[in-house]
Amino acid sequence: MSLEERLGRIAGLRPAGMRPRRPPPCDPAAVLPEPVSVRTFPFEHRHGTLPLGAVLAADTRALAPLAQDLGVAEFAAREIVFLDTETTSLGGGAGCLVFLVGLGRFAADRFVVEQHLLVRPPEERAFLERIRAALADFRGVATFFGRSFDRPRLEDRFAFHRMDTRLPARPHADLHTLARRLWGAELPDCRLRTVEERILGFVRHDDLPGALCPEAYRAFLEGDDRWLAGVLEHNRNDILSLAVLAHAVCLEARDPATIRGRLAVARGLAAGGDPERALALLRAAADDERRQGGGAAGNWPAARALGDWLKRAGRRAEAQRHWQEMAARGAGGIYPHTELAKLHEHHTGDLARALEWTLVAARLDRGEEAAALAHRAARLRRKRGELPAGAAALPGAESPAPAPPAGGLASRLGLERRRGDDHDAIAHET
Amino acid sequence: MERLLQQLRTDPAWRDRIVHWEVLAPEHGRYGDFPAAVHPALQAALRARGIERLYDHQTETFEAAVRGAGFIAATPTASGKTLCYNLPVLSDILRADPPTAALYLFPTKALSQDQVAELTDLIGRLPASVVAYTYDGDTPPAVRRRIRDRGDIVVTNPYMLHTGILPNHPKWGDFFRKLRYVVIDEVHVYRGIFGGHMANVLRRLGRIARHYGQEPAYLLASATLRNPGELAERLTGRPLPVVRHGGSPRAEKHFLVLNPPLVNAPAGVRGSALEEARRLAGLLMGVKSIFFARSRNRVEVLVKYLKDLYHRRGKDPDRVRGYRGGYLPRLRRMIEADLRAGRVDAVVSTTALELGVDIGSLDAAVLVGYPGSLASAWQQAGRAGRRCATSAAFLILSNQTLDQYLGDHPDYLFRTPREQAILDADNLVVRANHLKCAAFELPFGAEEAFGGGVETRAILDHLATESALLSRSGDTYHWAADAYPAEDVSLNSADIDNFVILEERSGPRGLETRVLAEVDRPGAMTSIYPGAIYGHQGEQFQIARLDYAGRRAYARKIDADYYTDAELSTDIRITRIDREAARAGRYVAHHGGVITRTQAAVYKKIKFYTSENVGAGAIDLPAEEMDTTAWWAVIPTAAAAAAGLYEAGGGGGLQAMANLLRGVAPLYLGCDPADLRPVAEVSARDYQAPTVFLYDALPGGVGLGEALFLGEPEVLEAALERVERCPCRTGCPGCIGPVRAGGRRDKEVARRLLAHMVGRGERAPAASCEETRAHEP
Repeated sequence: MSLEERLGRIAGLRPAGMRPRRPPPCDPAAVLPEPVSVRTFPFEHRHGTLPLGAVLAADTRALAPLAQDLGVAEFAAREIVFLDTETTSLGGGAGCLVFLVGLGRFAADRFVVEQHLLVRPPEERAFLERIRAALADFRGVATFFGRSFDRPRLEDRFAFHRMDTRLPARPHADLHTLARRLWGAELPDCRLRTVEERILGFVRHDDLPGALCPEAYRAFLEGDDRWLAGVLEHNRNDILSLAVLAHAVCLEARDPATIRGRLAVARGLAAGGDPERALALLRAAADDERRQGGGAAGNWPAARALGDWLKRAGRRAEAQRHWQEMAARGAGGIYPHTELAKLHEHHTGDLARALEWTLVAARLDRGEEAAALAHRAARLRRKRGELPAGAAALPGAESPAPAPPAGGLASRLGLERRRGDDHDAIAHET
Repeated sequence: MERLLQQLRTDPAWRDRIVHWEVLAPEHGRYGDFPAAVHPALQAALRARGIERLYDHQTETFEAAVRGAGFIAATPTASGKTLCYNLPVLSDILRADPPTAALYLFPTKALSQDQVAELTDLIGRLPASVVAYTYDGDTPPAVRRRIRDRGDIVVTNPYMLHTGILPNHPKWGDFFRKLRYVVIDEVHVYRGIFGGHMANVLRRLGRIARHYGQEPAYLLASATLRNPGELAERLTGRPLPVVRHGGSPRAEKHFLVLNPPLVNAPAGVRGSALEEARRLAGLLMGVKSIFFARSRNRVEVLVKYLKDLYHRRGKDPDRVRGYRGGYLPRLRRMIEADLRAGRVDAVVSTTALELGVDIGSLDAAVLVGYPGSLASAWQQAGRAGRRCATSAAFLILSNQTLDQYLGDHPDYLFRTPREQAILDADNLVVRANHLKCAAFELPFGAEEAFGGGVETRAILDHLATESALLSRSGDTYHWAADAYPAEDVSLNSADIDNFVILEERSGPRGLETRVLAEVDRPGAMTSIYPGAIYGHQGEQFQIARLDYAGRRAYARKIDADYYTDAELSTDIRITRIDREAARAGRYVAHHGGVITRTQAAVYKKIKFYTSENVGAGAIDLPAEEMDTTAWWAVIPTAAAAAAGLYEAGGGGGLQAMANLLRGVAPLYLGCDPADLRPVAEVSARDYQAPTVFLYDALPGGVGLGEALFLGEPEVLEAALERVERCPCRTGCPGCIGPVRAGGRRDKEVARRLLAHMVGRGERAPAASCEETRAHEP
């Protein structure tokens, strides 16, 4: 067997998925494109429903409550560079090259997309230095999914060449995270393609799918540049989408329309010093949620968040009313019951009520909280003198509990139709 | 222990079983002061731990390491090997001139964790903080970054280095820039295909270190071997000073070789080694002991035997534990902790515990069957007697040919220089696959070499054109494919997929499943076919069904009084002849490439204790194909006829001879018997003549065929001697393997075939015999 045949027999050396392709007989030098290509777009250019110039009016301050945990500071659109990369592999690692970096920015009277191409892999270092120089002019960088993709890939390449690994332009706004916080519940997924179509009103035609970009670049290296234009266009569209998406995100963050978006913004406002606006958003979200019967997943996130806000603000009477309403509506599982039990145990001192709510919760519980509820019930019984101080907290060793008062809370809530007496319910669950 | 040894000496029933009793005299240590170059803070920390002086070999290794030469320390078990490398590493980290980091490689995760526990204890006594961590599949992602950026000592295993660290070296830039030491412990395990992979992983490591401006020194530690220097050079690609003598003290130690008595002399049947181990366990009760069995199956059978024994004697059966590969990591950690804490009296293990996992001091080690290599035997025996008290090791010989050969020649164990470890760093399959990984990690220059053998350039060109993985640009080859090659290259075999065994049982919420264990794909054929009994911690599970595509086996607990044993059949095809030689016309020997196709068709049910065959079943699993290397010999039909091969019908004598060769060859090759498989074809397709094959049981082969080709006369002589000395009449597992029905003449035919091959045939066949010589050199 010849060496070629023996090598051909090795499974690990067979091409994965694709046909082996010999380079076509042409001179790569003849098809070398420019290392940097620049395209400009007038402000009137519409990408989806928005003209690009509108982005300059974006109120980036509105982002603060939505993105404060991400370290995204406020900066004007002109100070931001919109960055998107294409790589030779989607898996990462030392063999994964960044071969195309698109940078979008606002000039005085137009939007500029500058695309840097790695024409030959041995020239990577110069290529990376050009990119670092270009990024140094900006205060912040915006990407889509860049926290997990573009940034670590670039950092790996910088590290490979023993350059400073940090991106010159910081901080970094990952619009994917922001979009997910605002629309995550409404969209089937949060891929850029979906966001473009559903939020930005932009539909791509004849787009080269991102997954084919590595293969297109490989072909280019072997002298076949037919696909390269498609890669450049794909990347350019990503950059334009980033710019208009930044605006859409700011608009939505200022006045969120979705339950999820309101909750996300309210969380930031509550922590960031505008609790009253947070409360207004939470109430609006909770109202919407009630109309929808519990939100997309039916687990009442807004009602819970509102309850938590009231509790933290020390507005106990309002909180109690809110939880009672939730319990009456059967909203939020055992959350309102547990909160009411805590309220009575620790604040009103009404231990009978506290025990009553705990037992109802135990009956509704599907087993997840059984141990905690049993523990609470036992503690309450001890406090009420129904159990000696040292008695086991677990109900298996307990004396039978008194039946709930006739016509008590349980019956008012219409819960007595559920079978089993309280004690059995708890004992069974533990 | 003394009383126990006395009983063995005097009790006639035991005395008859002892074929050899070796007393290893105590040894006194040879000590010296700390070399002045050891950082003072480290000296103080060691003194605080009660270490006032160093053994001579520790001083020697320290000096070789800080000189930058590196070393391989091949010293006995419990000789303070760990300090040989920890001393220079910690000293230089403390000195920080230049900044120093070290990479530690252990073959298993368990050993890595052990090492970090020990390091942490020592580091805790140092004034400056030294960061030592394990980095493996269990390391939480949140901690990984900290380890990469701040680690002074990173402790990992070859698999993690191969798939996790090397392909992501840019993330490890800070670490590689100060990587001055690479520590590899348990070097003797890097034999065969695993060794070939390891050598190539180290080639990749070397390239990356050079990329970051480092040329680290290699600090190696190994069990005692005949050729540590050669192994070190093949592994690391450079010559390393060998440090052999142990300056460490040792208490008196007894090593007994036991052969179970013949229960049926004409049939050559001896008592089973497992049964013998059970008898010995009765004697050893209350003595902390470890039992080594040769396979997972035998571990489970012995665990069951011992648990039954403990139960009958009114002792807690929980004080007997099994320990082997396939147990999930958490269970293994628990067993290790119980061993150290003394909550276990007897542990039954495969080779998994032969390595340096810290399990505390043991008084006795029982080797149930010869483990296949001298290094393993001494490593296992060394498990007993780490502290300064008399200890004992027992080797119970099994019915296997190799064991019985040792029964004839127990001196082999004590007088032979330790065997060589074979590894082939230039196995084409292995090297080409790692070249692929290396090209992913750093571009290749056209003139750059990567080991020896076939030109690096030829493989690179293949990767660029045929495989479409690399792109050539001027004088460099760049990775240019959407793939992560290290994931497709397994360091142990060609396969990386494992089967998961799920236990099904009915619970309060219906059918519940839990993960019981794991089995690799080739192992599936022999252990988890539907109907198989799978032993786990002494309990039996029956495989109810197998989802081959989904890599899952479903098992149910069962109370069976039998275990199962699969029978394999192998078909072999020659793909390449590297060399051939007509041995004086008596036969023609070859070595070269073959493709084997192995299929399991039936299994037998074998009753516990009596070992009787109580049933059988069919196995319906896909065949496993393997591209490997082999040695084979073609015997002229006339000679075979003269030896009586055709008279008996069926040609069982040829298989008998193949079994004999396979039985004794490992002694000469230094390999495990499981690494070598025999096939006999009475009329081989390519020769129309009787042919015996011995092939490498690992994909790609490790060169056993070639080694056998060179060492043939010795192996043939040993096989002939074994069959002549075996007391059985018509064959037994101790010589020709299990006797098949109607195979009453197989033993004699095998003997005559061998006699013919070595030139002592009664009648030299007239045909194709140009010359007759008394003895083939």
